[in-house]
Order: sequence, then C-alpha cells, then structure tokens
Amino acid sequence: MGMSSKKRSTRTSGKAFLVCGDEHLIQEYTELLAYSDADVFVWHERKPDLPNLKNILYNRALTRVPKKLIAVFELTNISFEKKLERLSKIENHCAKESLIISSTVCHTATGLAARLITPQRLVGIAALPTLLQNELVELTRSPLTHNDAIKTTGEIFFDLKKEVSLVDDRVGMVIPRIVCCLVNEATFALQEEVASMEDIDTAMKYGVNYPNGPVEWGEKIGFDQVLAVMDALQHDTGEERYRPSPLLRKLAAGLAIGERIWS
Amino acid sequence: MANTIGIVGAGTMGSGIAQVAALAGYTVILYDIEQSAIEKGINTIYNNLAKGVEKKKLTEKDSEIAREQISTTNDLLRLKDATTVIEAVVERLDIKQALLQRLDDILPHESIIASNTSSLSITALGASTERPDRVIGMHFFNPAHIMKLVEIVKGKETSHTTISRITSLTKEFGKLPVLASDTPGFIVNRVARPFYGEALRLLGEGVASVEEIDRIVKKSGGFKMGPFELMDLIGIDVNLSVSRSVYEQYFHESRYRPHPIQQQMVDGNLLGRKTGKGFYEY
Ligand SMILES: NC(=O)c1ccc[n+]([C@@H]2O[C@H](COP(=O)([O-])OP(=O)(O)OC[C@H]3O[C@@H](n4cnc5c(N)ncnc54)[C@H](O)[C@@H]3O)[C@@H](O)[C@H]2O)c1
Repeated sequence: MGMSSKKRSTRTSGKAFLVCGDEHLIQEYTELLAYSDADVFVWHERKPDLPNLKNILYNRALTRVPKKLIAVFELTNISFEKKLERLSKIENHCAKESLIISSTVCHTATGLAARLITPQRLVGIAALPTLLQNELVELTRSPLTHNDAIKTTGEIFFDLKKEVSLVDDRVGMVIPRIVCCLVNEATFALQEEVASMEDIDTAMKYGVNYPNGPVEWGEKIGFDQVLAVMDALQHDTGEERYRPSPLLRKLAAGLAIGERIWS
Repeated sequence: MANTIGIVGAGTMGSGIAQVAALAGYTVILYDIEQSAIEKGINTIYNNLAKGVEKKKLTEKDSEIAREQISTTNDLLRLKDATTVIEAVVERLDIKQALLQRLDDILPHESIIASNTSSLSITALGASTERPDRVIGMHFFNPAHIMKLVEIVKGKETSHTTISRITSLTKEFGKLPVLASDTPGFIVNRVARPFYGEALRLLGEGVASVEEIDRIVKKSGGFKMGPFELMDLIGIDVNLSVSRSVYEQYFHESRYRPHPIQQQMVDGNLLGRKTGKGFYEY
C-alpha cells in the first residue's frame, strides 16, 4: 500500500473511526486510517488479517465501540441485506454527529438515504479493493446529504494525503464502472478463447499501457466484487450491455484462477 | 536471400516495421505503389534511426547497418525471394485481398504472408490465396519501432508451423508476441472498448465532466492517460471507426455500441489533436 508519509495529523488525534463491511475493503481502509492518530475500531463477524498496530481495535459487536466517532466507514458491496443491517446498527449506535461514509459502488447514495433515519450525514464513496493504492477517492452524495458532511469527508482524506472528487450519484460511479467493465470484457474474451489469460494481460499492459492486466486486476479486486458491480450496473440500467460473463460468475463463485479450466 | 523480408506499404506502419526488421539484421525490401510514399517512408526511418542514435538507444553503427539493409522498390516482383512478407497497406479488404492474390503468385511456396490489419478477418484474407495455412496476422502497434507488443493472429486455416515461425520472428524483432484467435478487434481493440465506451456514457449521463473523468481515471485508477485525452490522441474518428467495426462484426453486441457523442464530434470535425480541437483544445 503506497503509504509514503506517516506524518501524523492533529485534526484526528484522540478521536476514532469505525470500519466495517467486506473484508478486503476493511483491511485496506483500516491500514490507511491507522496512519492517522485516531483509533480505528474494526467491526466484523470474524477477525480479519490486520496490521499489528496499537490503534487498531477489533470488535465482534458494536457494544464497546465509542458512540462518538469522526466517521464510520461502511464498506459493504456484495450483500445489500448485510449493508442495510450494518447501516441500521450504525445509525442506532453512533451519535448523530458521526459521519457515515458508505460504499456507493453497488447502490446509490440516494437509495441508501431513503433507508436511513439520519440521511444528512451519509456520504457515498467509491470503495473497491485496490483503489486506495492510488491518490484520489471518488465521493458522492444524496440530495439530503449536508454540505458539511462532504466538506469534513474531504478534510479527512486530505489528512490521509488523498484528493477527492465529487461525482454524480450513479451505480458504479466512475472508476469502479470502467475497471469492472474492462475485467468483465476480459473474462468474455477468455471464455471465447480469444487468447490465454497471460496474453490478455500482456496485451493490455504493453498495447495500451494499462496499469494492470484486466484478468490479474480482477483477481486483485476479487471477482466477487467485480460481479457485484456488474450485477448492480445491469440492474440499475436494465441493459444487457452490463451482463456479467458466465466465466465471471464462475470465478466469483470461488473457482481458483490457477486452475484455469479454460486453457 | 533466406533472410529477406518484404514489406508492402511504406506508410506509418510499414515504415516502422521495416525499421524494426532491418535493426534485427534482416534484409528488407520496402514496396509501395506510390513513389512519394516510399520516399516519405524512408525519410521517416532515417529520422527515427537518427533520433535513436541521439537518445543513445542505438549506436551510429547499428543505424548505418540498418540503413544498408533496407532497399525500396515499386515493382512487387522484387519481393519474389522473400521468406516473409508483411503487408501494411490501406485498411480495405478488397485491396488487401487483391494484393495477397498477387503475392501468392509471386512468392515461393513456403513463404509466409503476414498482415498488419487492425480489423479485417485473417481468415478472409487467407481465403484469397492458395496458402491460407501460411497467412497470419501480425498486428503491430503505433509507433511500431517503439511499441513492444505484437498480436499474432491465427486465422481459421493458419498452421502451427506458421504460428511458430512468426512467433520466433517477432521475438527476433525484439518484440513481445501474444497469440490471438481471429475474432473482431483481436485482444487489445476489443478488451479496451469499455475504457472509451463507459467513459463516453458517464459523460453522456452527466456523472462527471471530461476533465473530471480523466482525472479520476488517472488518479484513482492509475492509468497513464484518461479516456478523453487518449481519444484525442488516437483521433476521435479513428476511435469511432474501431468501435463501429467491432460492433458491426459482433452483429451489434450492445457492449460495443458506439456513443452518439463520438459521431457528433466527428460530424463537427472535432477529431482531437490532429484538428486542434477534440474533447480538449490544443
Ligand atoms: N496507424 C495505426 O495506428 C495502425 C496500427 C496498427 C495497424 N494498422 C494497420 O496497418 C495498415 C496500414 O496503416 P497505416 O496507418 O500505416 O496507413 P498509411 O496510410 O500510413 O499507409 C498505407 C500505405 O499503403 C500504400 N498502399 C495502398 N495500397 C497499396 C497497394 N495496393 N500496394 C502497395 N501499397 C499500397 C499507400 O500508398 C500508403 O503508403 C492498415 O491495415 C492499418 O489498419 C495501423
């Protein structure tokens, strides 16, 4: 995780974040947030692999998590049911002034806001594994989101040495939509035996300078995450353009990519 | 003459490929129907070799040897002893098929005819000859003397021997070969479609502006260039014609559908860098 600077910020010292959601995202966000002075409470059914740092505190339940937090990062993409359950528990537990920064990759902020009692503190974020390696995070809002909530979220990321960009509230946002469509297209090509997995990755890295080959990128993001994004895009738009490839479904179901049944 | 390579078409791609082959030590005969194209092609090669020396990528000696390896002609018969001919003429099926028919008559039985086509079917090109097993795609990227990748495209009838000979040749050229089946857009031009297509849709749906989408793609996705900058560089017309060709060849598969914004830009002659204005002004 290209975290070059460990410079501590004062804005967050003596304060706390809460992180919950899909495991891979919990790991990435916890690692990033732990570089601030704040405590990072991790809430998950089972303990994820986390860096061994004093300010990272794992909890199976919310009971011992402080009520007043700078922000809660709710990073669920895959299961809408779990996402709603987590959001509702967060709303019940956390004080009104704690921001709720929730992944809006598979669901719009507007859709989520309609389910919340306190939608003014909801900020949407493009949380997809691997993206935190880069220098910018995409944010979005519902019509009910307070301007202050957006501003504070921008400041939190500024302290973490990240830029933010505020985009319109749409499923897939910008970069998750583009990248997941590339991965999906690569799995269609693979399934149709256009080329081997290695050659598809090599072709995209050397032919058009992509930072990752699309198949290896899918593996790093998690094919289950990519599938969730494609399903959400197809559902949201009703267009067959976004249908996931049958191979993507298999890969998401946990078929080890090393087994390469197609080669 | 065992090491003679014929290049047909001395334009952007043909001249780049000729340079690559000459630097790899092959005797190269560069042919074009237009005398002016040959002169321009040779000039480009000499300039690029000089730049290579300037940037210390090549020695003066490499460059001199490469220059000596290349001869030019406007008589296709001069290619009669070539073991491999790489064609890079205009992207038109009828012209390429007529050319391949002639090459088929002229060339020795074992010689391979490779096509640098970006979008035509290798199988259809092979079918215009009596040697479809020795017809293959060798898709270089522009600029050919710099880009490492070559997509080797096997037509329906292309033989294993042909594939392995062209794979070795590509490596001798110092390039990186990947093997693709003869499907629309091969690998790169197909798998890259969503990069442009989704960016255009995001713009059309008002999710973010041109500048903001480019910024996000670079700074959150880690890409070297944003989709709009890249379309401006490639040429919005060229990009639209690739989209359209893949879309048509896949019988209107919705994933490849071009976007009306592309057509509007082309209609307005806003083609990108080459006309001074595209998604950005230059
Ligand atoms: N330009 C690119 O970025 C690029 C990249 C990869 C592949 N390609 C493919 O390479 C091929 C050539 O493209 P280009 O950009 O170099 O085009 P170009 O217009 O620069 O060059 C084409 C040349 O072919 C010559 N020509 C036309 N008909 C001929 C014939 N019958 N016999 C001999 N010469 C003939 C023309 O005089 C011209 O010099 C096309 O198939 C194209 O799809 C182009």
